[in-house]
Order: sequence, then structure tokens, then C-alpha cells
Amino acid sequence: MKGSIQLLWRHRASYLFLLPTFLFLAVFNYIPAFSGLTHAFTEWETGGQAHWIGLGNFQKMAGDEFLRLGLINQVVLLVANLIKTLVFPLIAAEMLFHLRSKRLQYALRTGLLIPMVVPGMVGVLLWGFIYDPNIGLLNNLLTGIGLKSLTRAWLGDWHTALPAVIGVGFPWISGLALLIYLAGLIAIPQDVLDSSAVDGASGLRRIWSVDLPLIRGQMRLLAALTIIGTLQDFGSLLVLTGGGPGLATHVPALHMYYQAFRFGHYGYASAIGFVLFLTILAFTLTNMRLGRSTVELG
Amino acid sequence: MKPPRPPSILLLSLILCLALLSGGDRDLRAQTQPPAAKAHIVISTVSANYREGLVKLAREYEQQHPDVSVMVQVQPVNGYETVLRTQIESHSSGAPDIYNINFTNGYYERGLLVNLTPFLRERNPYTNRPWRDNLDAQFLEKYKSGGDVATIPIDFIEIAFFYNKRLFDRLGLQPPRTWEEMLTTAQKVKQAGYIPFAVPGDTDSYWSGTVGWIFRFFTDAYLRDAVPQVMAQPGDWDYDPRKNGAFHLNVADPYNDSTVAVNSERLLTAVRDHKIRMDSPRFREAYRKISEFARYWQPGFNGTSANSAYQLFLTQKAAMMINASPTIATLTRDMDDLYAQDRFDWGLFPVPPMTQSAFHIPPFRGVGGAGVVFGVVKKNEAQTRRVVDLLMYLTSPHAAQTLVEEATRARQPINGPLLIPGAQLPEAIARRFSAFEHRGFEKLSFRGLSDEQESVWKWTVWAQRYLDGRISLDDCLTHYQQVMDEAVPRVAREMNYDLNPRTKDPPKP
Repeated sequence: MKGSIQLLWRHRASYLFLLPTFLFLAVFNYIPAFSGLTHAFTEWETGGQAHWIGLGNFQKMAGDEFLRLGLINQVVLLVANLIKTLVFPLIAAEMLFHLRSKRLQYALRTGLLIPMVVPGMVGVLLWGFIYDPNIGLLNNLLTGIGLKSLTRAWLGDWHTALPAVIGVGFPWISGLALLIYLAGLIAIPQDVLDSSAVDGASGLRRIWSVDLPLIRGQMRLLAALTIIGTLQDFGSLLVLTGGGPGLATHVPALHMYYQAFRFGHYGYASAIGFVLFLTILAFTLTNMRLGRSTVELG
Repeated sequence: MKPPRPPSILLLSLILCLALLSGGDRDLRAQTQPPAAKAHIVISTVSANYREGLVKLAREYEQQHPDVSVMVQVQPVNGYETVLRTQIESHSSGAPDIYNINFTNGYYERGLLVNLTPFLRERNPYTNRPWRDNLDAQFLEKYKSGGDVATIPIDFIEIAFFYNKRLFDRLGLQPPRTWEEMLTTAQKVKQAGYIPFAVPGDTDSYWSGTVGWIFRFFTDAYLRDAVPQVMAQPGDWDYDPRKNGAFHLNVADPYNDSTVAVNSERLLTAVRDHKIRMDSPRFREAYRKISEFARYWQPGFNGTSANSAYQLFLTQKAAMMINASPTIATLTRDMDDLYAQDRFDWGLFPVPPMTQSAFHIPPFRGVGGAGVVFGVVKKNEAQTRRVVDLLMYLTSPHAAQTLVEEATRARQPINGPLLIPGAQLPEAIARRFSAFEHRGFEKLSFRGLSDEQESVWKWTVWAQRYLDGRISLDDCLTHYQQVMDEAVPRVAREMNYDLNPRTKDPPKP
């Protein structure tokens, strides 16, 4: 104990430098999060005091038709986002990895990563313009190639609003996912690749039997990040559709935002946040357990 | 070996000790004390068009009052109400002192705003007359909260139909004089291959934009017969025999209830007790008529933003649009920016009256009102006094003229006619504005309940589905009735109403 204190004292300058980081983390991340957990069990309206109501908010959630409809959209979005994150960047990474010209590989990799510097919300706004039913790029393109009958109010039509939201970011090659996959592929030892080649594995067979098992860790990480990101995200929906038309693109996180900042029901919003937190935790733990790699490189 | 302590630390400590000791000397402290801190006043507005004018007025005011600093914050419309809610309801020190009050319904009732009624009798030092003499009496009356004035209107916004004169001439059309004539005109426009009406229908539009306006002027007309049952009655705390005592409903006169005071608790109880029902025959016809009208809006209106709809009109794809008076200046400016061959002459016509109905429907009235309406956030007495003084300055003829001139110089739109006497508008704009004036105001209009956000949002969900053809009229109105039933207790709680019209309920402490 005395030794630890002496050690702490010896490195006090380092700890002092670290202190502000932890202080800000506590003030802006942990305290609000824990406050949300406790307020989930209260009735707390703007300007008023929070009153303990036990499980009242959770009972209200069970009967909330708008939340239930939002959940269905959430499941669709989650599945779509998992596919978008796990499949398309992987295809791009495999193609890049197997390019013979290293110079071309480098140039293409840079080209795919540069869009990462553009803030995500700018991309969302751009897609809003692309989907605009009257002056948007997509409808004008369809009209230009003689497919006017296919033009739609993409974000305003009940049938196309959610698919249009899913389509944002096409061809869905996220820079971060690409980097993670590339790092995983580069880490596969050359002798493993050579052995598979000797065994006659090439192309899809090699991807399926060698690459995928060896980058399962990366896929697990990306799946966890996607689940967390999708369940938490409401910003892009708020900007693109506001959850509409009707409830076509409404999701629980947006419902939480509306309840808190538009309707002033902070207690109820905290309860939705609490359930979202538990859902994310459960998904992440399940993903880590089910996706545990059975192949280790040593 | 321990490094020697730098002498600077010792020196610094010595200076600090001396400084602390010097604090004991009263005379010296008086000499060294910095000048008294300035009082800060924050004006928050979404009216970017008046940015230059407000900043200029703020600097002028600071020159006249060196002990005050005035900050002008121009905020984006999107999210403005969220910013206000977060700052004002949490009594944040960063909350504005003056802001666009029309974004926060019910704040006076909740005790968050200053009652300006006593100040109205005071002399405005910038006009040398009682303050109320330089304010628009009709608007002060319209915006009263529980009989008190908490809102100072600066200018006036109204809606009208904009139409493409060139297109109308080519198709041999005239501005319609009745609602039915307008739909016939729309049919001809559609047959000619154009979009009759450019209407934004995104979620915001149902709340604060075009679709919301349409539902408001329709329900106002269809509910005119309900005014007698919700207006203040003898014995009610807000009953005024001069206004309500002599009132007799006359739907032939569209404005005969203009000065009648509606008792908010009577209105809420009428909704609660289903004396005003959302699935009544009157509502059914109003909604059906709006649905018929929507057939002439551009396809996919529910996904169209206000800007996108405006572009349809500007690029001559749509022949008409409903828009507010600030669009006059915007359209004039944008038309100047177009290539000569793309420019077109345009005109305005007011919302035409409906002549065919199962009910006796009076002409549609205006749904506009003050554009910039300022309220004062309750902080402390000294600050209130300072802020009211600034507000008196902002409502002087000189200030109003400055707003107009600076907006014109910056090629910014002017919202509408100014409600401060003495300000002169540019002649071309004043002429255009004439189509918007003297329309009166809606009295009972519904999209949600009393602008309560949860009910507005839920109503939007069902109304979008109905106009999209996804649910029947019956379904839509049944759901709307349910939304209203749930909203009444929430609104009563929020406004601190006991639902007894006889008693005046105090603002929330």
C-alpha cells in the first residue's frame, strides 16, 4: 500500500495531466448516464421536480404504439446496417488486398479513405438533396435516362422512405470498416496463404475458408460498433425525415429525443434510454459470445 | 538531488501576499477596483433578415447606455425551440433575455416570462409617449396570455397564394375568386402538364409550415359556430362585457368575432367533454376538402421541404404556391438573379372563400400574425427593468425604420408590414403586401391541441397518413380524437389550469 502511494506520488505530474480527462469524462459522460438511469424511474417534466414512479415509465413504454412501430423500423435498419457494414467494405478490402500493383492499391485505398474527413452529417444532408423529389439528383438521373416512371418522392413515400434511408451512403464502403478489414487481411501470415494455394484454394474458396475465419475478430468488432451506432443514432433520421412520413422512419432513439427535447418528458425519455442501453449491452455481449473466434494465429 | 526551487515561485507568492494585504485598504481598493461590470442583455431571434438592423440598434443602445452590453444571437429555425426549452426551462444563466416568443407556447402561464402589462402605461423614453401608444392594440389583444400582455409584436406575417402570371396568361386563366374556382383552375393547370400547387409536406410543414396553415384556416372556418360556447361567459374571470357581451355569431361577417375573448379553459373542457369532436361532420367535411385540395399538390409532397417546393414555383414547374409575406422579398430577389429568359411575372391572391359546403362556412381568415414577437424572460427585477427599456427602444419608430432599411440594404426579406407606426416600407414591397392585409385572424384552429408539441406530432403522423391515402378519413379522425383526449390533461397541467373558467389560474410558481 505504502509502495503504491509512493509510486503514485513519484508520477504525480502524469496523473495530474490525466486528471482533467477523467474529470470531463465524469462530468459529461458518466454523471449524465447514471442520472438517466435513476431518472428512468421518475416522472420528470421540464421545469418540474422528478417524482419517483417506480416502473410507471416502463409500463407506459409497453403500451406506446408509436414506440412499437418504431421498433419494427429499428429491426429493419439494424439488419440492413449490419449487412452494409459487414459485407460491402469486406468486398472492397478483399479486392484491394489482392491487387498486384502496390502503388495502385495505395492510391485506391487513399481514395476510399479520403471521404472519412467529411463530417457524417454533411453526407446525410447531401443524400437529402440526392433524394429530393423535385430537384434531386436521383430523380433527374432517372428522368434523363428515360426511366421517369421510376421517379419517386423517395423520402416522402411510405414505401420508399425506409429503403431510401438504408440507401444513404451507397456503395456503403465505410472508411473505418475498410481499414479494419485491411488490417485483418494484412495480418494473415503469408505461409497460411501459400498453404491454401498449394491446397488449391483460390478466389471465393480461399476467402470463405481462410480469410473469413481469420478476420472473425474484426467482423465481431464491426458488428458490435454497428449495433451500438444503429441503436443510438437518430441524428440522420431527424435531419432526413424527422421520422416521417407518418412513422415510416421512426425509431426508438428518435422517440427518446422527441420525448425529451420536444415534449419535455425527461423521465420517460430516460426510461427509453435505459432500455436502449440494456438492449445494446445484451446485443454486444451476445455478439462477443457467439462470434468468438475458434481460429487463433499463434 | 532535488532541483532548486525557481525563484519565480517565491516572487509570485510574495506578490500574491502583498496583493491580498492591500485588499484591507479601503481607499486603495476603491482606486484599483475596475469599473462596475456591465449588465448583459441577450436578444435571441430566428429572424436572420433583421440581423443587421438588430446589431446596429444594439450598438446604438450601448452608446446611449455605456453600462449595458447587448448581444444579438441569430439562431437557425431548426432546433430553435429545443435551444429555448433547454435554456429557459432550466433557468440557465445563458438563457436569452428577449426572444421570439412564438416558439414557446404557454411559457407565460408557466411563470417563465415577464408580465409586460404594467409597463405598457409607462412612458417610453424613446418616444416620450406611453409605451402602448406605439404598439399595435389589435395584436397586443390577440397575443394576450390569460388577460396579460407578455408579447410585443414587431411585424406582421400573413399567407396568400402566389401565382405565375405568365403561365396563367398562356393558359387563359384568371386568379380565382372562390375555392371551387381555384380547384377548377388547378385542374386546367394539371391538364396542361404543370403542377398546380407546390406544397411542402415534411414534418415541419405540418407544424409550422404550409400544411399546418391549411388545416388551421380550414378548421377556423368550420368551427366558427363553436365560438359562442368557448368564449368567456358572464362570471368568467376574463369576461369583458364590451367584447363578449354584445357578440352574436354572424358567419356572413367573417370578422365579427375578432375581438371576442376565448376562455382557454372553456375550450379545453369543450374538447374534453366532446362538445368539440374531431370526428364531427364539420371536421369530416373540412378534412375531406383538404384531401381533395391535396390531389393538386405535387406528387410526393410529404417528402418535399419548404425550399424544394419553392424551387418548383421558381423554376415554373408549379403554377401556384401558398406562402407567407416574407417570400415577396425573397421571390423578388431570386427573380432578379435568374437569367432574363427564366424570369416571369407573378401575382398574389388571398385564400378564396368556399361557396359549396353542407354547412354555412364563412370566408377563410388569416392564419398569420406577428412575425417577430418578442417576450422577456423572467430573471430578476433589475434585469427586467433593463430589458424592458431595451424593448421600448426596439419598438420606437427609429428602430423600426432601421430594421427596414438595414434589411433592404442587405437584400434580406422584410417579414411583412411593420406594426410600429412611423416605419416606411419600400414602395414596391408595400404594394405587394396589400394582398396580405386585413384578413383577420383565426380564432379556433386545430392541428394538435393548443400547439402542445406531443399532440401536434401525433396529429401529424395521422394527418400525413390520411393525405397519403394510407388510412381512411374515419381512421384518421378517430385517432385524432384519441390524441386530443390524451392531450387535454397534459395541456391543463402544463398551463396550470384548474379547468374552472370562473377562476384565473396563476402562472406556475
